[in-house]
Amino acid sequence: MNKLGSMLVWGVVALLGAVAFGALALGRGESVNAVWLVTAALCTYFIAFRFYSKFIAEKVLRVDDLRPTPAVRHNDGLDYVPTNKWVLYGHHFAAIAGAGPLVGPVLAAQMGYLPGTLWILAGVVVAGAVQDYIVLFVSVRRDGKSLGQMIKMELGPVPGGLALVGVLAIMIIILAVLALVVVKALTASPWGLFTIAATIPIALIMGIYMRLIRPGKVGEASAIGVVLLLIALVYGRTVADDPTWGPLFTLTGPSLAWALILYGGIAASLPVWLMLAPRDYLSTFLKVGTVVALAIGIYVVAPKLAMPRTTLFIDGSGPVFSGKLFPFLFITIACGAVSGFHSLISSGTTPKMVEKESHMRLIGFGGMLTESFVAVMAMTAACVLDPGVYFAMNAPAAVLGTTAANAAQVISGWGFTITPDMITATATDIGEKTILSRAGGAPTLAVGMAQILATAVGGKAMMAIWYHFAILFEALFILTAVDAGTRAGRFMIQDMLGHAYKPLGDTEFLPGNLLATVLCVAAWGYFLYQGVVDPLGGINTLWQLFGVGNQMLAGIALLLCTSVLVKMKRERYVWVTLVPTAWLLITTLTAGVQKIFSPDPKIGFLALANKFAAASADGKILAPAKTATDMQRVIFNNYLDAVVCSLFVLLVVAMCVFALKICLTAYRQAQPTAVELPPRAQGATS
Amino acid sequence: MSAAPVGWRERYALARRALRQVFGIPDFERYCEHMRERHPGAPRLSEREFHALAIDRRYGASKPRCC
Repeated sequence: MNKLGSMLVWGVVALLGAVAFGALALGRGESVNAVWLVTAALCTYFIAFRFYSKFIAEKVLRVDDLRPTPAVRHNDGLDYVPTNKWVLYGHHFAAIAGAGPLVGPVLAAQMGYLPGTLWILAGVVVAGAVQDYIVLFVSVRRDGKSLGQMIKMELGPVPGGLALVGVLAIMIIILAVLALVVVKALTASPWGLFTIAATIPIALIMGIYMRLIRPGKVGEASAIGVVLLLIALVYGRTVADDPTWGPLFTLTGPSLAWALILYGGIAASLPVWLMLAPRDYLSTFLKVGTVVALAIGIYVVAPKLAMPRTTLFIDGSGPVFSGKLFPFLFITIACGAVSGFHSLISSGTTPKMVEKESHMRLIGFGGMLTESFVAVMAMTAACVLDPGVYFAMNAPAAVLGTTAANAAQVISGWGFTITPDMITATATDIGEKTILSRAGGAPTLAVGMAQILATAVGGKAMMAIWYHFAILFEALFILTAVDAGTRAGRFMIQDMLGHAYKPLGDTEFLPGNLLATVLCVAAWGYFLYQGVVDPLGGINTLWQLFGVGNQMLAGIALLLCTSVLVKMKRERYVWVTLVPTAWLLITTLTAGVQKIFSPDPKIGFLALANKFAAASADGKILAPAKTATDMQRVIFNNYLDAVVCSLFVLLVVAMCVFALKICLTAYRQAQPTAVELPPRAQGATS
Repeated sequence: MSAAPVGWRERYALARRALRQVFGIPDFERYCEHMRERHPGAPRLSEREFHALAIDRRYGASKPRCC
């Protein structure tokens, strides 16, 4: 394209983006079409990719296609494979996109669509995509090393060890919160539970098929799996209505939590080919398919955003999560804007498949922009819902009560008019008995998706099927994450136990394996159970703990990137990573400290614990506790949450100090001190 | 992904290969090609062994899944 043509095209994109933002932010009175939201996002992504990522590639990192990548150096046809950049972009996106970008925006929608959307867009361009891209770059220049190894190499062994502890803690919280999302979606929902339960035998059939019957025929096995899954989805309604089977699949929150804990322990002990691998393929197919379908659906249906631009809850009094817009919006939406967990993927399998350094711009930066787009669609799906329905689904029972009449009254009191009939009609439409207090994102997103997709295909009659399809799609990859995460946690615990008593670190030693699995499941199971029995909904506490942890990890990854830039003597451009690092540290440290010390018991863990302790000393019992034992449990759990939160805060402060020291030393050196592979390293090993 | 596709058969094969890579499905054909080019004459895994090894490697190690 010649220069004039290029200027013209990008001028049009910029203009379109500006018009879209104008429609979002300035339109008065009438509701805004969701197409503007999605268009504003796409224009932002294209411009950020074209200009900012190019600047980072050429000026900041100075990528060099003559340097052999790990895939080229170690090409073994198996792990290290030079891969076409578009293919690897798809692969990387499938690996980073999980439940995170779907849940956070839905919760943040309580403040209206604008604050969350602006943070998703600004966050991804300035922080999220930059982190994913530079971590990938740093890993490729270090032979595909993992984040933990690189922190050890560049910052020293103590920070390396600290980072590992942090990653384990964050992983346990993630597993608990993801499992909680599933529990919230499936409580008292026999149709949903039957469909999800059916995925277990379906995965086993696929696993046996692709291992023993037709080895390696993943496509055939997946086709069988998808057909069986659709049968289970449609047949689920019959099961739910059946007088014998229906009640059998109608479980309470605590029994579901126990079922998931048991499932996690068993699934993580099975051979990987039997359940984990087949289910992962199935969920990846569904994930990519659904995301594409939703994007097309939004443009075809062009729904109106029913949620206002901002709501009264930006003052911190919201029912879904408490706390003011600053800092709590920025930890509620983690994935989609910036997610520390991606630094583990960007330094995992992807760097071993990069063919040329210049490809990483599309894979790392572009992959994260695409995940951000998923978050924007989740926001859209939540905001096309009637706000009354949204709050009925997301506010806890302690606020709404347990009847539609009561809930409608409370929600109308906030200024979102809704009748009890609307609440029950929505439940009937989606084939459920109730929609009240199903916080956690998945059900809300499923109703929003069902509304969009049913308008495009099938109409109202299909709404129940679309709803349960959406629940299935989310639960499927959450269960895969629980399985894979428990395994990963087990390995990390074994590694740590090995330092205390050598034989426990041996992954072939069965008692050691079992002990580590039980420890890992017990850890996330504890937080899960605590979240399930919490009458305030659990998500309220756990999601924010997860957000703080995840953003802290992003902060650590960006500190590594900053140190590497200084060590490469690119101090001039250090703001590229320093600005997002600073922002993450400001928001997460503020949020972390407020979560621990805020005098408001709705926000501060210690304040809530003290309130209950004081009442307990007077022999009083405060709602939601029913007995003196309940009181003690609330007190203990809040102290525990405060400890976990302090761990994250201290960890990131310590990492800051280490990184600062390293940066100062490197700054004084005249020569680059980064521990990269030499530029023309030859010596293929295979 | 070297030579430009000529016929529909090649295009189909390339598309299949690309899809395998996107979804992380082990590719036995690619492995055979690799062994032919880089290690002619060396002992090769059977299709069954290759898939077993590839799946165990992909999922066996401590790889965290994203949130």
